[in-house]
Amino acid sequence: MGKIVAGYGTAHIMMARHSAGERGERVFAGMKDIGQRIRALEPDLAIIISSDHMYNYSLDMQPPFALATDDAFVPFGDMDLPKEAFPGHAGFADGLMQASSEAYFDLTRLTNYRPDHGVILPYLMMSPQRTLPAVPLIINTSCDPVPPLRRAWQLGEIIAAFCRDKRPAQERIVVVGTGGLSHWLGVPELGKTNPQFDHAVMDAILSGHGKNLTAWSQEKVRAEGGNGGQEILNWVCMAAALGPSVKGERIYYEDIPEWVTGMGGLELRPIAA
Amino acid sequence: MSLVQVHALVRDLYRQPDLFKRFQQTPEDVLRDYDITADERAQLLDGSPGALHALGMHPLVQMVYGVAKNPAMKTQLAVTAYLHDIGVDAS
Repeated sequence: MGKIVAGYGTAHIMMARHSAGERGERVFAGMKDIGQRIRALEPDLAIIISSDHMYNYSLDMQPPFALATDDAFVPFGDMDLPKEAFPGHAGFADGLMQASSEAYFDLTRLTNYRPDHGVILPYLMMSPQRTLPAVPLIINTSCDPVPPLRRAWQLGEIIAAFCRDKRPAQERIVVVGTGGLSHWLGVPELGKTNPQFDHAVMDAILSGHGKNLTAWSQEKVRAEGGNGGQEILNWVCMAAALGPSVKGERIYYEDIPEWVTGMGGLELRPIAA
Repeated sequence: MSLVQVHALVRDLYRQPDLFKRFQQTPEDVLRDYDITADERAQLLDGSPGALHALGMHPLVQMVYGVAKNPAMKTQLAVTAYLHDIGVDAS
């Protein structure tokens, strides 16, 4: 059996250096800290749960849940991010596709996927030399209807069962849910944030009660966290993969209107049974 | 419904580097190749968040378009200044 050794929630964007003063630098330090923690765990692969920012998805089609199954990925290069390739894990991804199907949960296969900042920025924090295999899992967080939080939780449970029951002994896996927290994009409220919403999300996940968030309606998330706040789907999926028996640690949180986002990072470590 | 054309324009901008460069130099010329109304053309040339929202452009598509239309936004969204500090060789 494989082992999910840790889960992380983290922002997946930064903006121009020093454009948010010390708060921006503290976010950067927190994101680096998460990367260092992941390297210290010596994982065999990382599942990176993120959103697509319309570089792979389009208004023609938006799968609710899609898994990138290639053995290598070439970043899209948005935000001037480097385009050097990094490894995927086709064997793991194919197995998860199959396990998901057998659990009556439809995952769409993504091939020739070009990761944007939502995946590559967290990835570079954990593997700056681009050696750690990664499996990007994309959730539609931006086109109506976005999936309910309950569906993200279901998928996280499938990931947990797959890692536990189908993967080789000693395989070490980290799961990283990225994005958010509250932000309003492309709407008149652009620049608004809601720290109360952000802390409610983080507190629920840190305490092992992430499942409680599945009672939140999309309307509530949109009203209190903004249209961009739907990215908590990625965090909830991660929390479900870790399960309720966890020790949580808040790593960073900053409310950064300059970056139009409430930005947080946390760690979940499983408590041995 | 030429909003479809508006989104097609943005898709073409990020998939065709030469078109992207031409748009940054002479956006009016590029827009002539798309079947959009005069109002839509004006809102696209305005390029402000309010104009793009009024146009009905998807919020994330607005980000992509904004980078093409507004050099200051491209600068604000560039993260190269962080890469050295995380040990990334971006050469």
